[in-house]
Amino acid sequence: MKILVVEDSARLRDAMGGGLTKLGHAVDFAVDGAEGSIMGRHPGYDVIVLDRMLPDKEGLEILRDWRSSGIDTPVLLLTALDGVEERVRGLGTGADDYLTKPFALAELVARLEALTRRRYAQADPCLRVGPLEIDTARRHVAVSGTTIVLTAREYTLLECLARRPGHILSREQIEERLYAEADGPLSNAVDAAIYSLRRKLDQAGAPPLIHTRRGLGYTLAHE
Amino acid sequence: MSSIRRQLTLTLCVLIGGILAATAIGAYLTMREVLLSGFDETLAAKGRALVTASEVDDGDFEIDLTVRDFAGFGEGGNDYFEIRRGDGSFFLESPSGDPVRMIGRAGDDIRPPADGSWEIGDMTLTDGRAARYYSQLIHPKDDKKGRFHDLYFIIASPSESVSRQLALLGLVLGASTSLGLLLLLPAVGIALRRGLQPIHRMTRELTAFRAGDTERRLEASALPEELKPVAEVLNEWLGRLADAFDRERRFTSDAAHELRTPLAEIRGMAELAAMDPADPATPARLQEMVDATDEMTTLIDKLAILARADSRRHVVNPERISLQDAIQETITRFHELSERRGLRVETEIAPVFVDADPLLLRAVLQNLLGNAMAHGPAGSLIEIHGDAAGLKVANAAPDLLDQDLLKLTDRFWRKSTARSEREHSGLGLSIVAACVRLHGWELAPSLVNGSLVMHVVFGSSPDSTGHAGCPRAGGSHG
Repeated sequence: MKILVVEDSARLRDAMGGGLTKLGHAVDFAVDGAEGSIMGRHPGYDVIVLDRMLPDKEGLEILRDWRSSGIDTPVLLLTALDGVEERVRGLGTGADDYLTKPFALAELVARLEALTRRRYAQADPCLRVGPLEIDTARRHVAVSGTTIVLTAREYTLLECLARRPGHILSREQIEERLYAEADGPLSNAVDAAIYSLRRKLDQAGAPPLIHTRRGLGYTLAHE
Repeated sequence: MSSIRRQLTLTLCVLIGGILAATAIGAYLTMREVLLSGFDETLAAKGRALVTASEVDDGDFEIDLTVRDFAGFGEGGNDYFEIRRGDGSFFLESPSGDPVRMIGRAGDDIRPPADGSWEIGDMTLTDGRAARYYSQLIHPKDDKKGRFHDLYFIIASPSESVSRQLALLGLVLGASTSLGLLLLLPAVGIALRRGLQPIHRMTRELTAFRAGDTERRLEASALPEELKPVAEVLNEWLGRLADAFDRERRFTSDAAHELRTPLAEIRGMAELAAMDPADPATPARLQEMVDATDEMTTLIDKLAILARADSRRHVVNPERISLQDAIQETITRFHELSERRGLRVETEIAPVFVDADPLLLRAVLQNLLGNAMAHGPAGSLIEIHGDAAGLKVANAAPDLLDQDLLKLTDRFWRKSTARSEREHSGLGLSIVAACVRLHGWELAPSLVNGSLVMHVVFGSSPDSTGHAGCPRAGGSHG
């Protein structure tokens, strides 16, 4: 997932960013309302984590602006305000979910993944392409029942392709979802990750699932 | 506690019962007087008629028979008279008295007034009947020789008819009064129950109030005049309670809110460290967790000060403190911050002493100066003025508005809604206000030419030795 975290607490940014990155997600940060408001308009994010109380601009104000501008990226509101009225207000403004501080990182990740599934109209946390089965809830990958151990980045790449089976994703689109802005990946990072993923799938006995479309990008399909 | 209804019922029953009984007795006595005086007037008229009808004819004493019979003294008549000599000896009686002298011995003690007037009184006839008598001297007409000059009348008329009427009247009055008294208790009870209905309604309305239903009030306009002030006072108290509850709720909510962010930071970093203990960033994250814990501890300490101040549990132990020394010590404490932010500090402090609790005064000074140095723009001027009358701390506050002054001492109030700068809890000026209040001083914040001036007014003027008297109250901004 490509996630934008808009949070003014440096420690929370560090904790959330560290946790999400370790799980293979690409995380960008905005440290105040003004920056978050601009970054959230970029269509490349799968989901946005938005703190309610920010310097310069309130989280709800930013959210209202996004929604009125047609930005439909799922937003999880993060806040220390836990009253029912506050939650209702947040959800009524256009938030897709609401998480109260303090929270468990695992719960944050689970909610973000649920929001992403909902966005791509996928109720079942399991993605299936031919003999390949990806349990996005447990981050578990198997080919015909045989488990494949992937790195966080390989997993994210595979999930990214599997969410749109048959669709061609350009190298830039994949890069965007795999790497945060600050990472500055090498030019062949995507190719290297694709190579590594193909090798592991092949070792598990899977037929060729990842196909290269020259000049266009990559697609995952069972042909 | 006694019942108002019971007390009122008893009092009203006694009062109304007394009035009823007194009225009945008064009516009886009045009627008795009317009946008796009517009876006596009739008796006197008969007597006067007999006296007038007495004459001497051919040397014999006579009474006009027409008058005698008409007045009821003839045979079979119901009234009686005797005429006696001046020595009381019998001279003549009415035919109605035959064959028995109905007056007889009962008249022996009766003597008419010597001046010619008459006397009326009670007597008992010889047959035992109660009667009224009339007695008067007789001066018969034509008694030229004066043979009958000492004669006098005793006229008696049985009063049983009057007694019967009075007995009947007494019976009627007694019965009606008794009935009235019997009906009085339930009638008064019902009337009072109806009269006290508004109190019961108010009680039921109050009983129906639920804990936490702080917006509910009594409907005073529907109550009678006597209860309106009670309801209004109750509503006023309910309003104050609601405000207090609201403040408490807001404070608790704010406190929980303030603690949630550092808790989230600590939890997030702890989870991250547990996820990958070998991560080179883990030691730094652990240190961050310690720092976040320290910040929470500081916040809790501040909350504890406020809680103690609110509950008046903090005992003020005043000492004579040099204002110059106390302020200088605080400036030194913030030296590094003022250097880092390029702030200039100008002081004008008189060599006076104040009677203050050292801990509370330190809290006031640290929060006032700390606030000014944290919020004054970098490179700006901080002015501190102190004398026996008070203390002023001024800093440039270009973003502060007049309406902000009202919120300065509100807990957790910050000009910005962001909570990133954890060192600014929004409690500093609340603590100043609480400490100042504990001393009985006054805190007066103002905006002067874009500068915030926090003025702590000590309670009394300096004495002759150059000491500020025991101060009375104080306040802050955060």
